[in-house]
Amino acid sequence: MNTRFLALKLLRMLVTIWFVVTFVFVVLRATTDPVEALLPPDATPDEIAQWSEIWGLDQPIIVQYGRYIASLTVGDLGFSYRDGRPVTVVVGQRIPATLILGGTALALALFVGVPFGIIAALRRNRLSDRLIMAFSVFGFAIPNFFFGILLILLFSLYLRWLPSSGYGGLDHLVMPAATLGLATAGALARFTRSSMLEALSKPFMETAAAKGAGAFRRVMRHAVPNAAIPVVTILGLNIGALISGSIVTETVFAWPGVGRLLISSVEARDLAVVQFLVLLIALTMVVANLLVDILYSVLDPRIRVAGAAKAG
Amino acid sequence: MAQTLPTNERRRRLGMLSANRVVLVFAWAILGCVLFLGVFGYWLTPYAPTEQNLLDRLAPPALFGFDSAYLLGSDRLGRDILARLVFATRISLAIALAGTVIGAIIGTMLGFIAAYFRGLIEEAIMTLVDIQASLPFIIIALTLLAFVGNSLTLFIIIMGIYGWERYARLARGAVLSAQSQPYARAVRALGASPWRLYTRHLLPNIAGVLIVQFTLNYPEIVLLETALSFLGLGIQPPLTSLGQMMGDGRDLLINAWWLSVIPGTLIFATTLSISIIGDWLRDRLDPTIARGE
Repeated sequence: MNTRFLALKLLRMLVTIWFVVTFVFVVLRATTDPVEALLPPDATPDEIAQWSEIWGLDQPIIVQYGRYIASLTVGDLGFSYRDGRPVTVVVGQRIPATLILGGTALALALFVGVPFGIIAALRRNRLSDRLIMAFSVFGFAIPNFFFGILLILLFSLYLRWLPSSGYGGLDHLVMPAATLGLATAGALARFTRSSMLEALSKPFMETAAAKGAGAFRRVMRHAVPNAAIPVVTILGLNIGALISGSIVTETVFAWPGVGRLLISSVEARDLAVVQFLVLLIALTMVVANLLVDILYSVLDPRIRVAGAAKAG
Repeated sequence: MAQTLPTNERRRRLGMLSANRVVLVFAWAILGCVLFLGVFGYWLTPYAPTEQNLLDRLAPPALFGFDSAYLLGSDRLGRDILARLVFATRISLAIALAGTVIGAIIGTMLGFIAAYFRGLIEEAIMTLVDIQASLPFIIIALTLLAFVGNSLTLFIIIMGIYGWERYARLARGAVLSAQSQPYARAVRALGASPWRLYTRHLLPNIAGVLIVQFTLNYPEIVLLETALSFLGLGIQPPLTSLGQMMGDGRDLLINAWWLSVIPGTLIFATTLSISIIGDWLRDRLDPTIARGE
């Protein structure tokens, strides 16, 4: 990883963040009167004038924009109008639950999707391959809110094995994590399979066989590492899918995370909270993409070399 | 490659081919049923979608062997699920179609504009493309819904913003690669305007790729619309969509599973069948994607 490559990535990251920040500001100012949104409807004109001055709403728009950027950089993001607490506190409380759910779902997707994909590639066109691919298509195509509801019907209402909603022990985590991880597992299985098939057809596999390496060693030492790179790409792309998925999944299972907070804030038009959540998610996405880029060059020396050659 | 394959491998491939055929026919059949339901569904039920019968609330579906006056049951206001399903299918399919068409037009136009003007305009458009591609779209949709407030017009616009960046990339790439082609230079030399070159000569050339993108985007927009409506942030009563019907029945899972499961199955059937058909179309129309693996 050379510095110029990294610097370029960081710059793009900052541009994206700046754009999202500006987008939020513009949409917010273009569509709502902040005074109307923040003050009770029976506020008197005097009160409106007074608060406009306090919030700087009587200033030109460019000054307001500058103040807005300045307040973001010092972490002053406003207050939830529903309970008056700072948005950082409101959102911060919800983050652990989301990380637990997202982490479990991602681990589940990796532990199911990648081995399934490898097995499917090794047993290409056999029954097991077909079944795994059918699972993959199913996982990818079923709406997660529908899958979640089917799980609730089967395991909570019919079998009565698992609680249908809420937060607490491991039994609360099973169904939301399965719902959230399913689509990613399906995508991973599919891409691992095609990536493995490509690696298996490469000349180095014949070389490995000629050297006398056993079947297990050939797969694990030669095919899998070479198949890993496209899989990492897909994983990077799926971070976004996981975030979107968690918004729906958390709402279906009444999971007290960030996604459900976003939905209830949009419903109540609690704009300060929505704004902070959007910025937070954008930041997460951008950092995740950067990590994927770094992971790439760790996994694939060719990218490092190419990057260094280009840079000079 | 084909000559070197051993016979059993070839036979297996042929077997797979016919298995894919079966799946494809099945997908067309399901899509046909969904479309039939959307178009002619009112013939299957004597009730209107808004007709309430408060004495017959949450009636179970007769189709599954219950003793009931309603083929697919009734909801909490005693409205016929089948009639509402027809209504919801029409709205869900129409909104997704509108969204896909808007996205395709905006995206293709912006792609052409970027390729035509180059320079700063291209930079700006492609930056927007990158940014939209790097954020989960539901976040953009939720931001707009929160700040602007939900309305049907806004909702359709949001569906239209979805996926435009992919058409923009495709269209721009096609123009840039075609500019060096002899036919494009010939058309230019004949005195045709860039607009004519793009719409009459380039567009037909990339139509296959765009149509494939269309079939990939359509089910995604169906899912986006139904997800938002399911969460209560999309289509609002008195209109209904498949997602809104599902969300409506969510609190009544214990008493009336059919309220959620029937529209959910329909969403799944629609998106799955269109995805399968889209895959098949891609293999047929898009020469840039290698067949097979």
